Amino acid sequence: MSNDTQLRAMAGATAEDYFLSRQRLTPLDVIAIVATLVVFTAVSGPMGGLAGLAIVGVRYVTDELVAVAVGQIVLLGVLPTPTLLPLLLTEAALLLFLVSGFWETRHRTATITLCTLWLVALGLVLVGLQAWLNTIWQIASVFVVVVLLIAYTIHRYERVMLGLVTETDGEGDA
Amino acid sequence: MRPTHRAWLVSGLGAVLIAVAVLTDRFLPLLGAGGLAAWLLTGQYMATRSFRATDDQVAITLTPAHTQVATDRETLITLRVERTRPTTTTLDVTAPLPVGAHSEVEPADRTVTLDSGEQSAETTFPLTFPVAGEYTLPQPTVTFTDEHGLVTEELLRGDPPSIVVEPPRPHNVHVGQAGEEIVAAFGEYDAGRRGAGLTPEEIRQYVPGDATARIDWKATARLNELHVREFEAETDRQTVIMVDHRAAMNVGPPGETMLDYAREIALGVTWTIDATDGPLGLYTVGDAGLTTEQTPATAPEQYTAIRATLHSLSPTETTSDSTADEHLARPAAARHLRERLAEEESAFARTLTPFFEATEPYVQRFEQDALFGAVERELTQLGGSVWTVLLTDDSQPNRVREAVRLATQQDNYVIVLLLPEVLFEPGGLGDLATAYERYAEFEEFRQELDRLPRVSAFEVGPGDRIEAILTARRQAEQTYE
Repeated sequence: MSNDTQLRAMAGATAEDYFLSRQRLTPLDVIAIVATLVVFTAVSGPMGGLAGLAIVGVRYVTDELVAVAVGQIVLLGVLPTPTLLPLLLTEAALLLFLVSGFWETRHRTATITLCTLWLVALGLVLVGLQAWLNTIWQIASVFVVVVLLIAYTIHRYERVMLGLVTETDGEGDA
Repeated sequence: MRPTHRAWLVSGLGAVLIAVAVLTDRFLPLLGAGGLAAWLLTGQYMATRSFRATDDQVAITLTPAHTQVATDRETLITLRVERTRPTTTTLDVTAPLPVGAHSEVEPADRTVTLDSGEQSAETTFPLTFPVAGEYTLPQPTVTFTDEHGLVTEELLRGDPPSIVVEPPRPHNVHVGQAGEEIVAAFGEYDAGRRGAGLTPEEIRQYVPGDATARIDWKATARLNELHVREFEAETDRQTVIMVDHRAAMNVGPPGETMLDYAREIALGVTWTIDATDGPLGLYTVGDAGLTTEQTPATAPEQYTAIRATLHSLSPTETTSDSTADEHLARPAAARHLRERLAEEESAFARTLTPFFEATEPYVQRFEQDALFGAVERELTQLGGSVWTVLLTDDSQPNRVREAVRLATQQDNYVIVLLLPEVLFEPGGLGDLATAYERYAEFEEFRQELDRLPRVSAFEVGPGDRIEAILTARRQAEQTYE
């Protein structure tokens, strides 16, 4: 695979296209930015507003996924003792960033709907694990296993659909 | 399905959030990790759907320009990728090289990329095969990449075509007289009389004395009188192929030398005689004498042995000096190696020496002209009626003339198949006027031989070259008029 092809495989487009796509704001990006600034300011005052600005800056410089990750870490300071409503509002603002990455896909509605369903499902898994298990590392471990199992199931489904799995196929193609 | 660098980067971000959650003992970062996991799983599932849709629509064809090529000749392969409608998946299709094939181009030049939205693309690249055989081109490797650049999948698609690679051999073999091609199969001859045989000749009225078994009852019923059917007589005339493989016959491009053409004709004669189970022999003549002597016989192994000899025939050498690229089939080289081995005392030399002692390539060396000597020996050895098929060039007309005259003694027949040197020399057709003059000289010589009693003389060579000379001459004459 050539360097250009590898780059395209990494980014889904050329490096230049990828960089420009990060700078280009979709309507969902605008909503996510406004929501982040407003919600963070509302739940934590000027410090929250600054945190929101930092998240928006990260989004501008990198991409929406890094902004979500940074936002989650910033939330630790913004919501030292989170209550339900502020937590739901701030998470909703950050998750807008997450789904905005799918705004320009060919099957936008289906993709965003599917992403939302995964978000709800995995959120419920986490809440369930929190109720069931005692420590964070236990919750994290079980959660990682669950996600890997789902990813592996989709992988096997894809190979079956493409006819890459036969009855005599070994186990080594995972 | 393989994750790309981007998928690993997103996974890394999730791992960082999990690590922060564990280190700070806070649940909140786990929600972020869950969000990233949801994003990845969405991308993975949508990629699966897109890959499947693309696989159903895509058509990949690998088309060689020729299904039959000669060794070391370049052939072009076209790789075409087409899909019925655009999908979000990017395709990179690479045509792998078959084992044993060689291509100057980089793998990137054997790759076609079909970006999302594009429907068709193609590339063409050259391929050469150094070794003869049948090759099946491997299936092209298709790499699917989803629109988010998260995952790729590699699979094999397309029907693999086959290419037959043959060693270089003469093409467009022309056998004829004065540029006119003859259509008779090599080796057929007219017995000159009728008698018992297989090929019907004519129907005639029955005369007393005719065998009743020869009565043609259908003709008798039709004509209301007794008729018998005559057949072409079949004879046991011995045929001897005499092939000249002196160094002078090694003129022409590789695989298309005068000797290659002579070999092709000799093989044709062998097949024809083999089909009629006629007695066939082979004499091959090198620079210094007779190199093969296979007296006429009708056993099936005889035809096989003659074909094997013809296939292995290579030009002899005029000098005994050793060169760097000596080949054991050449007498001078074999002799030189035998001498070197004789000087050694090693086990290696002791083992190999007996083999080299058997490589004396000449059955008999002649003091006079080798061709004349070979014919003389043939006539001495063989009794009865002999047809000699002589394949040689026109470089030394006198030796051919004398050999042919000798071969026709004792009421024997000779078919002379002459290879005009002008048709094989590199650059021989550079000046078509000069080439025509040389061809005309050759034609005079051929006609002279053809006029000899019991001799038929033909020209053998590449038909396109003869046509080029004659066409140029005709055009020149038309311009002059």
